[in-house]
Amino acid sequence: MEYAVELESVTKRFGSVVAVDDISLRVPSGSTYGILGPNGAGKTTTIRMIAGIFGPDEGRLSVLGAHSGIEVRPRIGYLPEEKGLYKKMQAIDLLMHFGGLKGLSSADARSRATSLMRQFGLGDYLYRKCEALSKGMQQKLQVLLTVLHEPELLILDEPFSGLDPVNVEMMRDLVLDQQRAGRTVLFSTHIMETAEKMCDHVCLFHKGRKVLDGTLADVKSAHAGGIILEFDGDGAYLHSLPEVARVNDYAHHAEVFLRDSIAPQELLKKAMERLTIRRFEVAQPSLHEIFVRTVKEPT
Amino acid sequence: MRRVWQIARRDFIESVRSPTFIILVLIVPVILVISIAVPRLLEESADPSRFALVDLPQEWSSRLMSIYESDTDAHSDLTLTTMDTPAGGDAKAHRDALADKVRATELFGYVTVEENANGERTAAITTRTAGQDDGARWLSRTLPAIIRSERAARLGVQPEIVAQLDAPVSIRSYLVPVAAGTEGPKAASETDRFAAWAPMIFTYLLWIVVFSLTQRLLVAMIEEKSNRTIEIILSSCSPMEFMAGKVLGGIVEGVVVLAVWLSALFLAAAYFSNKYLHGLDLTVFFARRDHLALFTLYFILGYVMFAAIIVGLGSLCNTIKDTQGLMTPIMLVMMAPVLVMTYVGQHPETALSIGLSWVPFFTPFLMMNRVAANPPAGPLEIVGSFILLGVTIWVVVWASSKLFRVGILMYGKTPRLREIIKLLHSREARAIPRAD
Repeated sequence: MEYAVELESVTKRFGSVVAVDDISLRVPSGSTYGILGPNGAGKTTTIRMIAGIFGPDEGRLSVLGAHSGIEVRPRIGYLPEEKGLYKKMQAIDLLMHFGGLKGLSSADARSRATSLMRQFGLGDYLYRKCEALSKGMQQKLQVLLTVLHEPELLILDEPFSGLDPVNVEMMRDLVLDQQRAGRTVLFSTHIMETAEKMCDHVCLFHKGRKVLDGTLADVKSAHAGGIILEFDGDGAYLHSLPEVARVNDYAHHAEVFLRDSIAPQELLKKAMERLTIRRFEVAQPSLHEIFVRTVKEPT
Repeated sequence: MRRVWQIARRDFIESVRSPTFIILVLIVPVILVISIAVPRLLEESADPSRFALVDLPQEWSSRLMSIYESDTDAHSDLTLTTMDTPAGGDAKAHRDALADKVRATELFGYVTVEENANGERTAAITTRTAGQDDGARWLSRTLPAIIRSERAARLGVQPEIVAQLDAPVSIRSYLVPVAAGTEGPKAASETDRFAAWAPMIFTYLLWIVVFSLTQRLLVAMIEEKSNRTIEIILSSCSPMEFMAGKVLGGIVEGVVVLAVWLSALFLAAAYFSNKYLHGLDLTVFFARRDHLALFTLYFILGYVMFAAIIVGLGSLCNTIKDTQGLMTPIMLVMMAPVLVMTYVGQHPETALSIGLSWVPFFTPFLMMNRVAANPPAGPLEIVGSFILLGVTIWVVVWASSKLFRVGILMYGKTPRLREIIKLLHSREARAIPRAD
């Protein structure tokens, strides 16, 4: 298998803080790879190292076959979590500027920028200053400047953070388009549901360390699933059952994990005594559950 | 290099579109026009002041009119009309009537005769305003000569002797060139006098350009840092390329400002000198093209040096307020050569002048003054100063780029001097591989 990105025992410190601690991971070419974890887990630092914004203190990096993201910058598209624009620049000039930095000729950058802006509904705003665009349009523009040069590797740091619902959809479509075009998409998120729906590979970070990684299917099958319950009634009852080890309770929806050797039917029987059951499903565990379970396990 | 140009180009275009840059570029031409042309244009547009000659002795009137007729420059300043008291009329009532005409602006003033304490006839000029008027000034210059010649005639002095006594006395100046192998003293020309202005003007230009353009550079960088555009840029180029692009954009801006200012000065010199500055020839400012070339080089190198320092330190700041603490020492360093440049221009040979001009941060300013001084800095010193500036710029760019690598993604408290020195040796400053 070919890998677009490989990290081998990579460590990054800022003063006395170890932001990334001995991380190794491999991002297969053409995959959609999610780096997951809560805030402060080291996702952004890892992504910045891959994008070539700074280097690791220890360990080895390979990005698109090069020793550093710096060497293959024109083949990488990077969208940081906090997205900024040159407010006084016209939208088309902004795209052309960043296209130029990625090695596009002026004519190429202009034609691609015009076409992309039209495709994403910004055709009437080509010559508007960025500050005159709505926040949603600015967000679109920020996304477009990441893909203008058709990068082989798209690195997105918390791409859905701060987006309005329409742009969330646009971002999702864009990731899918890249995926279908055979490009590698690497993104970080702290929202597990998003990763679960979009990624084929995931890597979970916690406190600067990798806690698990693999294909989504492998990760899920390696962890025992829970039981999905949808019901009317007081969900607190589920917590009181001796058969139940833990409940992810969402009021009328719950993910229930049973103690060892307890059969799901026993739970169904008990639950029906006090609750009106609308759905009962023995399911694979959610990434959220896997993450919570993994970080709680003593290392 | 392409990315460096790309960044420089964007910065330059963004800058030249900003009101601050336009004001900076226009300020010198506007000040020149305002200070030189406007007063003269206003004077020219005004009608000549109308003066009445009242009851002057015939010989005074005729000499005054004769001098006036031959002095065509005076025609734009004043007109002269004889308005004697009508025969048998009341002289006092006549003058009162003239005063009314002055009040009604029909006349600017009038000239009368009165006696001084020695019983001698003298002239009196009565005008509407106490301020100086070109017409009144012309009368004040011309009438004494007429009165003096009358006095000389009364004392029996020949008119030729009076003319000789009245002739202006000029003191000639000579310069002793100090450079070895040059000839003896030579007459000091206007070129010599005004050429001494050039380094001072360049010193001020460099100071103003560094001060104003680097402020803009800082503001732009802090904006890029605070809205995180910097991260996208740094995924497309190295910190070194980004910094080089910023400095290069600034150099182009500086050169544009300098070119516009010098062009304005040249045009003012060419078109306004004779017309508006009473024949003062400002084109001598451009007489020493070798000096101008050297000044331009010192200007560019000085700008690069200070811009690199400011970009490096500025990368550690997150707000304009943060920059004040870091910029104050730099501004103080830049003030020092401005304070000593007159001394260096007058005493270029002293150890103090030479020593100060070899302090790298003062070199661009003070070498400009020493190049144009007498004795001038020799070719070896000039070459040496360029080498010194080259090495200093290299060191400054090296240190600034290290700070830049760390600082540009550093948010929170601005580091103190001790922390900055520590940062220069930090692992982060070395972590980025060299730009491809």
